[in-house]
Amino acid sequence: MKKANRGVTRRRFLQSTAAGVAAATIVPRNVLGQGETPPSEEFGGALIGCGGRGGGTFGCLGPGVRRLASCDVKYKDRCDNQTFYVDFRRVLERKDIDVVAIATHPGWHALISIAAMEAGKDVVCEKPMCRFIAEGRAVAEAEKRFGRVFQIEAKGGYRANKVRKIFESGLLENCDSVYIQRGGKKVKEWSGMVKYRVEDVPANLDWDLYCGPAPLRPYHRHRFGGTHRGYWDYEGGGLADMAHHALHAPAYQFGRDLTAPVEITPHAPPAHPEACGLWGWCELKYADGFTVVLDSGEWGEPYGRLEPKHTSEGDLLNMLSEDDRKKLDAMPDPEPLPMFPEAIRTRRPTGSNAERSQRVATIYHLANVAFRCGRPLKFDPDTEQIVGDEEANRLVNQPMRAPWRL
Amino acid sequence: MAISDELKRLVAQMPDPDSRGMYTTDIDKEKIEKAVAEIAGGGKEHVLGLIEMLGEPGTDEDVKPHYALHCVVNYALVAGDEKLRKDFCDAMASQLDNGDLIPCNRAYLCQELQWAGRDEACPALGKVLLNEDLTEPAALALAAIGGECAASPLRAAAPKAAGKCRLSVIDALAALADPRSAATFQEAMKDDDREVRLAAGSGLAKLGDASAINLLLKAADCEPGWERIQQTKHCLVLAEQLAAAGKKDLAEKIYSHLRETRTDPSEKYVRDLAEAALS
Repeated sequence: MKKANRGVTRRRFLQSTAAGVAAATIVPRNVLGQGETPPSEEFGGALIGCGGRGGGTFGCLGPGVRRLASCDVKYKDRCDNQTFYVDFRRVLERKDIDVVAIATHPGWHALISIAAMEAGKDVVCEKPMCRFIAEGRAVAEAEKRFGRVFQIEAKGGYRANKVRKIFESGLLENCDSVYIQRGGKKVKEWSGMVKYRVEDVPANLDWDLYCGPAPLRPYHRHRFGGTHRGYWDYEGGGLADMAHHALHAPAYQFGRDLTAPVEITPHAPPAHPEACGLWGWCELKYADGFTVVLDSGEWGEPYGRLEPKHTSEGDLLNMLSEDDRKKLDAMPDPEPLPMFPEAIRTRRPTGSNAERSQRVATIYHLANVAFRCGRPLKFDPDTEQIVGDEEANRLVNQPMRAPWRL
Repeated sequence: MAISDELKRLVAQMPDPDSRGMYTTDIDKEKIEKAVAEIAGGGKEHVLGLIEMLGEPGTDEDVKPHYALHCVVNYALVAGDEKLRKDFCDAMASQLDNGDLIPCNRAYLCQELQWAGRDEACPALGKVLLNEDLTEPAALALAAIGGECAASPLRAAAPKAAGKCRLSVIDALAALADPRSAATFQEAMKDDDREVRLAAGSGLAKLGDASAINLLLKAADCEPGWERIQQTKHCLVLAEQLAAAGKKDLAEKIYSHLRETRTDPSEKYVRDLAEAALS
């Protein structure tokens, strides 16, 4: 049974206190002050994208969120624009929606996240955060501009960690650490079809809105539902689907959310223009020498150029001088990063805020760009542009079909 | 033109889809790359032949030439062979107005020009901007190519475009933040189509056009809803652009207006960030 909305809503609370200030240039911290929000508070919530991951993603909003709206492009048969919606824009116009969970296909993740924050909502979004690198940057900019709380599904909740502290300190300027992930990327499972049968669009589906910023393709059922993962238009195969799970915690631990790789070396057969397919491995090297390797184990010979090494606390401490170890000890531990339910009450960034998640997503998006281009790439982490490869940059910042734009 | 037996033989070297219709088994990189290199060696004629071989999307007839065309276009980029890339793109651009090709395949050529085209592709892409079937893929390709050569046909199409074509054109000009389109954007702010107005607002904001301040603020003061949210965002982007350009007094004008007009409790977050920017 749903609870009656008798509590102090977050919006009413924000309206009634001058402390609820969202700074324009920084993600606000402790704006409300911990403990100021009554535990009985109830938030108005919406779920956008009500497929397989919908319920789980909505659950990440935490307790005390009442679902007021459900939105999906397949709801043409039940859309009343009160409880059920087809068009997310109508949901975001509602004043009584405070928090939004997004579980559409990932071609929509960034745009709806941005639009929700522009409308003053806090957001939990399914992984991956974005379909390409410039989209992720735009999410991080919206998070900052509007002072909103953002989280990637259930990622985050990090506590102080010594390895993290070493990398975050900036003391380790040169290292030869190699971190290799083998398997777990569901490459064959989430491939796209190159041979398929074009069908009529189901009556309850708004196919144009489903395609959204991607090209309007002929409908075939494999592009719809969970198998959307196999198409560059909507996601990026098993790599984009699974790598955020696999990389988020290691990226935090190894400080790979502070910058991005600079050299990317792919090994894959020529990619299909629309359907995601096979790849072998990708080696991604950072400016400080740290190397991340993603090895699918699903095509070609296993990766064998480097062996895993120097990722333990002891190894990393041994790379520091005596003086630097003393400096490290004198530094404060990394700040804990909360989960969404705490973050919306304290107005602190979550453990998977958009800025951090952008750096994580950049790792696997760069690998996919290299697979699709079929050539090694160099990347500038500051400008987030590929160096000296105009055509590869078109995958970093992809144009969108009108009326959708970053 | 006739498709040569040699080209047919090489296209047959492309992988067969597996039982699921996917390229997930028996993918032989060396075999594909060897055949692609040989197709590329046939130059523009082979690219025209591949285009002629394209079939209905997803059919047996289409699968291999569709994949081969993309691989061959990308081959020129991997090889860093500018003459080859230009030849291939010229060949594809020459077929955009070929009425014998189904619209899906002409859109596919736009997509490949988005992948590899440069200035040489822009005039042909510009010619199909007023075609309802091709306006979207052509506008996407021009937005990806960028620069004056891409903007020029979009600007030329803007006064003639209507409906879906007008939206595509204005949106692509906004994506390019075309500095010569400020007047076009200002005119488009009066359009009956909300999406055209929003595209124009986005363009003016990206340009950092100080003469658009009043226009954007007025647009952002519309009734509560999607358009108000979006045009308010455009005002904020414009303010940031102006501040970054050292025009702080103009940025302050925008922030002051938002602080004073966003009095509804549901817009407190806008008022607050304007206040923070002014403090």
